[in-house]
Amino acid sequence: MEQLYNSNHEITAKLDKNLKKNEAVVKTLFSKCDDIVEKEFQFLRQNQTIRAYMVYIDGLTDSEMLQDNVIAPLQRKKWEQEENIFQAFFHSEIDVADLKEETSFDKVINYILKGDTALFIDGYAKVIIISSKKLPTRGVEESKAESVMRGPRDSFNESLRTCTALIRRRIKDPKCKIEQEKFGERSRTDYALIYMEDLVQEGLVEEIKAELDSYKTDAIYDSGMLEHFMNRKWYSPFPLIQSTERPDKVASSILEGRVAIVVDNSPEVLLLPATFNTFFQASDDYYNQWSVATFARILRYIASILAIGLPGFYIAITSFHLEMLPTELLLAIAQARSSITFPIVVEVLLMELEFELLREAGIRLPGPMGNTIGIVGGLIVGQAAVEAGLVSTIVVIVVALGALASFTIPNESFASAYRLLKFFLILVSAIWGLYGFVLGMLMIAIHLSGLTSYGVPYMVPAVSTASGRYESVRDFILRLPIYTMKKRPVFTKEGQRNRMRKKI
Amino acid sequence: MGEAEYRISPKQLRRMIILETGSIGCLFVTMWSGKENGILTVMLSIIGSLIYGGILMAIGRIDGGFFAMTERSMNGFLWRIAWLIYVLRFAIRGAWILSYMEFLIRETLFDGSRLMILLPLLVICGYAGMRNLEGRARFVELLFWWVVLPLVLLFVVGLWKADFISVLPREPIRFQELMVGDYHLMVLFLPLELLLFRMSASEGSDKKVWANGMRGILLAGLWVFLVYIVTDGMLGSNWGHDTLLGVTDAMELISIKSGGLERLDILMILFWLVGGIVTLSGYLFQGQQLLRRCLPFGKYYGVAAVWMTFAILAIYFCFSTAWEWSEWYLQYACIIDFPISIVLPLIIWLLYRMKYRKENRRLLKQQTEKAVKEFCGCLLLVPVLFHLTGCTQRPSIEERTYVESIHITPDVNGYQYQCMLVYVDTQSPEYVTVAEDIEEFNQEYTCMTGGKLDYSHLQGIYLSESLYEPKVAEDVLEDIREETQAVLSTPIYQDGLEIGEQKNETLGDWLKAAREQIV
Repeated sequence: MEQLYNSNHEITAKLDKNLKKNEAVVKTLFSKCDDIVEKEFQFLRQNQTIRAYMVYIDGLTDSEMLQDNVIAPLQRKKWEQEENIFQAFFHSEIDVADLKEETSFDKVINYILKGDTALFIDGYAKVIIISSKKLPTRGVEESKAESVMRGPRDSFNESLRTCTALIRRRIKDPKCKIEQEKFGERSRTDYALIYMEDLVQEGLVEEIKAELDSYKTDAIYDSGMLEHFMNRKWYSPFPLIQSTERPDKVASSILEGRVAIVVDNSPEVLLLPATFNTFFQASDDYYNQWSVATFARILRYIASILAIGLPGFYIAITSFHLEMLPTELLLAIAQARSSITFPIVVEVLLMELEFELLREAGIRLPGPMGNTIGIVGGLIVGQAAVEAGLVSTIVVIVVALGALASFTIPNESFASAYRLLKFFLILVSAIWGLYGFVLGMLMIAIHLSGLTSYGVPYMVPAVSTASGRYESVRDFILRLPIYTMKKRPVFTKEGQRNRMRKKI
Repeated sequence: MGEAEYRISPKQLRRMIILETGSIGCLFVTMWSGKENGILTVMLSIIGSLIYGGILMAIGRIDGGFFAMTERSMNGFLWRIAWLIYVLRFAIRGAWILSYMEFLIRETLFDGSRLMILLPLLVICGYAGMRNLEGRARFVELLFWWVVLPLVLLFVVGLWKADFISVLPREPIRFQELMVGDYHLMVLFLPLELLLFRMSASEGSDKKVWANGMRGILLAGLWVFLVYIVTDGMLGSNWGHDTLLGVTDAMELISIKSGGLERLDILMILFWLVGGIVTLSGYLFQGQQLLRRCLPFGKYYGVAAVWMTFAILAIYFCFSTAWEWSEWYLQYACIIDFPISIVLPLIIWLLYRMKYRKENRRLLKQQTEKAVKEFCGCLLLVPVLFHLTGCTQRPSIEERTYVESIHITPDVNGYQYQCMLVYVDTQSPEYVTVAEDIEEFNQEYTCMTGGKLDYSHLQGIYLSESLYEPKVAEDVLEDIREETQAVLSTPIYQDGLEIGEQKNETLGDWLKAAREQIV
């Protein structure tokens, strides 16, 4: 068994003209694999018996289709003596459009594992691969993580082909290329790089391929794992690759010169390069009126500042800079805290911890129960904590406002970075007051300004690039009318930046 | 990736100039602009900064930039020395800013121990300093509006509260005083020196880069000007001249009632802090880059930045207070740093030209006419440079009046000061007058003779018998210590006694004894 594989976990056996030998290899490889289906056929060609051998995996393959379109026609056929059986099978007798001829055993086995059917014929050192996949998968459903009020509702599912089809449906241009590769020595997970040949930055696709080729691992189960292999700034909490389950977002990104990576078994498609701004863009921003979209965008940016800084700022002000508070507010806070035994920082941390627990519990529990936990936590536990004198009402307001603000960020992994850094700011504010708060914010700003995602500065368009010939600023904090966005953003290759012109 | 391969946009260049120059410049403009007719001084300094920045931009834009020019025109040892000179100067400037920021933070934001203030500050500055030029440019650009917009808006609001009468020029306008004040203020524009290292990295045509550079300098100057007129208009020239925190005092007086926050000025101080960090990290960044060139740090930004941070910290401890730092720094910057900032690049440029000429004699023959024009241009620059260095304003060695000893006795109107003077031309060796303190005494002398006393060679302080007691003489001695260049080792004598009968005591001993008696 061991001799059948090389060090790269590839099958070294060669296809033989003798069917018995090929059959033996297959049986050895799939020994103790009870989901393997093997069928033997015999055809009479005058006085000679021709043997064939079919292999597929139960559950991944459409067996009805095989029966109707492959086995039945072959058995009905009356064979002539001079006929080349392999060619006859391949060109006329099998009623399946997608057939391949394969000469490598490794690839044949790989096709079988993907749900295709392999047909071995005695006397030929090659195999017919019949595309017969019928993988268990969800249908195209409505996006749950990125729902919109207006716009298409469909979302990606776990099937790579469905995902690519949803993209193709939106970009009917042969310049949209889909290159399929594999990752993981044992999982052999398919992934596809999708990009516009004429818009993508030169060298970007090759850079991505080289990056992924440089790793050798057992398996990946989701695009999130592939993202980790591509993330060069491992220490950064901010995602440098965007993920989405919305086909419209992917299609528009590809048309801006970005590269999409679809991974089999993952409903999340990766988009790169990514910038800070792209994580604030929601799909319906482009389907709503520009004024409404602009308002939403401004709201999201303000919310992001509240999400990261509000608890820290509150601690800094109330612990170190009381002179900044108006007298009435100062007295109100003092009164609210008069029965609280904990210092302000402990009070805030308690509430934040409660919120994080509720969030985690809400995700793990089934849908309706998750909602219930949110309400129970928000109303009952919060109220009880106030009445028990563990936290003051103002802290409940501050933490709730921060939590609410963090939910307005359209991307979950990006919002998670905010939640994490909020604790950092709480800590430095508790030690140094406003001085610590501003240094903490500055540290985040320094970190962000140093980030690049595949050559594009992360903070574009808040910062300029050396060339600066693009108009991303029209789709930044303000989302100007679509007809004013005449140029593609910074991701696009130089010389291909114009995307709109008026017909004469 | 080599440093020369990094590229920044002209917009980034402009914003770096404004933020790095303006944020620290504004904090000191009122203090250093002189008491009278400061507005004219500030205006002159803005014009001076345009000339200064223009020269540096011109040198920085030549061929492959200042890095390449220096390293091509000198041998390895010399250009490494040149870079180390820059590193040292940047570290001194960094230490001065650090001391000021520590003072600012302690007075306004966080009254903690020195270590607690310095530690996070240095971590942030070090972190900001350990990156490449593109990262640095992006960092400054990202913070630009966050710093400039609130501060400029606040001071624009402050215009309504400022008393312009006290800012307007007054008679008599003494040109010489103006120029001295202007020269002091030129020190505020020293961050422009960083242009030398950035010009060649700026993408775009020469015209575009120049336009952005000059706009940056002008806007930084206008920001300084705005802060000056508001601060001076609110505090008056005496108060503004006397305090390190004039700008924040003025901000306190602007006191916008925002409704949400009672003291908006504290929030605004945070933006000054960010501006200060930007400038400090700018020196740290440039020092790190230069260190990597002359020492074997290679591509390790972090290691070089840590070394530079430690250098700044070590120099910072040379003085204990921000006042001492600022007083010393002003003198140092006027006499040494500013002249070097312009003379050194010019020398390097001349060396480069000479080497270039040797190698391309044939080519240069065809360009003789052009070279003559350049030479004439240089000649025209000489008087400008001569003025910029401030050499003309300083009394030369022979013009000074050196004080050999001071004799002090109590008087009905204060103290009677009697000085033994050392004249170079051996005129009257004695000067006697009555004054309340040493400052008044100096002023009296200046009024009477037009000269200025120099205490750098003081041999002894003689006190009368009634004053010869540390606690009694403390005020006088503190005064002398602060107002003159008297060192702590200056001997203290009792008037009337022979030298042999005197105790062996010094100014330092007496000040210490006086403080201990108070405790």
